[in-house]
Amino acid sequence: MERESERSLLTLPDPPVDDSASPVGVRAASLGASEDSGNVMTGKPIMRKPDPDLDLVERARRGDTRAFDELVSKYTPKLYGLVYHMTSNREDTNDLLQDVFAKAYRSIKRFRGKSSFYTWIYSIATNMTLNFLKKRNRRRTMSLDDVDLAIENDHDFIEATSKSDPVREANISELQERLNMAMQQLSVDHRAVVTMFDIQGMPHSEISKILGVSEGTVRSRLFYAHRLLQSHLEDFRK
Amino acid sequence: MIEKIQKRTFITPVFLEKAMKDSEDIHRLIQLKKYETPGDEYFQNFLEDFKDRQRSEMLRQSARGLLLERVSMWFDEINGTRWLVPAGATAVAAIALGVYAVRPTLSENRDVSSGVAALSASSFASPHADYSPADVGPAMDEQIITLQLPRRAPQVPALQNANQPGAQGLVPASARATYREL
Repeated sequence: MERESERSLLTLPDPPVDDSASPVGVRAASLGASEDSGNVMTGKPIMRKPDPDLDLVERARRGDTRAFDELVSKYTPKLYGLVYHMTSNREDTNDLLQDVFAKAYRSIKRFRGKSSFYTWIYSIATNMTLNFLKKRNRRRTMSLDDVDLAIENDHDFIEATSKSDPVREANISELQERLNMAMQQLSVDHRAVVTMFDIQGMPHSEISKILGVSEGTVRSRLFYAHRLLQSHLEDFRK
Repeated sequence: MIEKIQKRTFITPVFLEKAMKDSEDIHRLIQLKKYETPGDEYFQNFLEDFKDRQRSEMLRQSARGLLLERVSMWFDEINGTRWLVPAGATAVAAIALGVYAVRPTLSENRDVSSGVAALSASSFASPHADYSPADVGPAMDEQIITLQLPRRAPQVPALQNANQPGAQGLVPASARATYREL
């Protein structure tokens, strides 16, 4: 019901639920995060799913460094995806990711469990990346990762290449470059929502919690960002 | 829902359909970026790199930096009593202001008393003994003169013969008038 109500004029289809489609498996983590369920209007009790990382976080808070190591290992791929797709630079991503985990380690005792650990560390990563990008200004040196060859089996890729001449003619690295250039044309705030929604498959509600804005704002940013991306990728869409 | 929005925003169904389709197309295209990955090796080595970097930063960080970090973390940790921080800062500022306001008065009193003591020790012992105001302090000139008044000599030595014609003494006429007033 909630899913249906999200589909309005400015809403977009929810991202694929299939975890295997995403190398970073963000969707699985986002669903595992504690989210409020239930509805005040219908009178259903508000249930909060337990944080799957609760045990690790508690141990880390007590000084168990191994527990923190586990959290680092668990969230590195997800956070890497977030930072990388916003910066389009793997060296910057590596540095930022190190800083994100260092900051999380220093302040884990302040984590009170009001949100899930996933939301908390995602917020840290997003804020640090946004600050970094705002300071970086116009220095847009791209340093891209290799494209996983699994893309050739992706349904959307096959469909796009079968119906679109430019995509068919362009090789994968050209497509990658065009996509990254188009992303870099967006403002950092728009890039953040596109990264989280389109690439990482996170729901609007989770994005709004991480960014600290309303779901309406997330939707409008997404809509506007898509309009801009359309203009940059017009030839690839036909 | 869609009809409601259409009524409110005067968007035609054709436009709506096209906008949604365009968005879906862009969504499909952009999501292909998820195949950009650094490879499993990077993720396997990341934890070790992270630990190495943390250790090296610990060694590089100065003692003052560590202290500042600890203090800031301590302030952060007193989350429940966060209101104490501004209250404490206000109290400290008020005390500092009070100390600053009271200090000149105290030092002034101390200087006056020390000035009196100096006068008792030197000038009162010898009525004609000279003293330097600098010994007492520059701000105390006025008090010193006031204190000096009752114990001035009955006659200024240089004016003892001032009434005698032709005896001008050592002091000029203008100065003599001043001394007479005294």
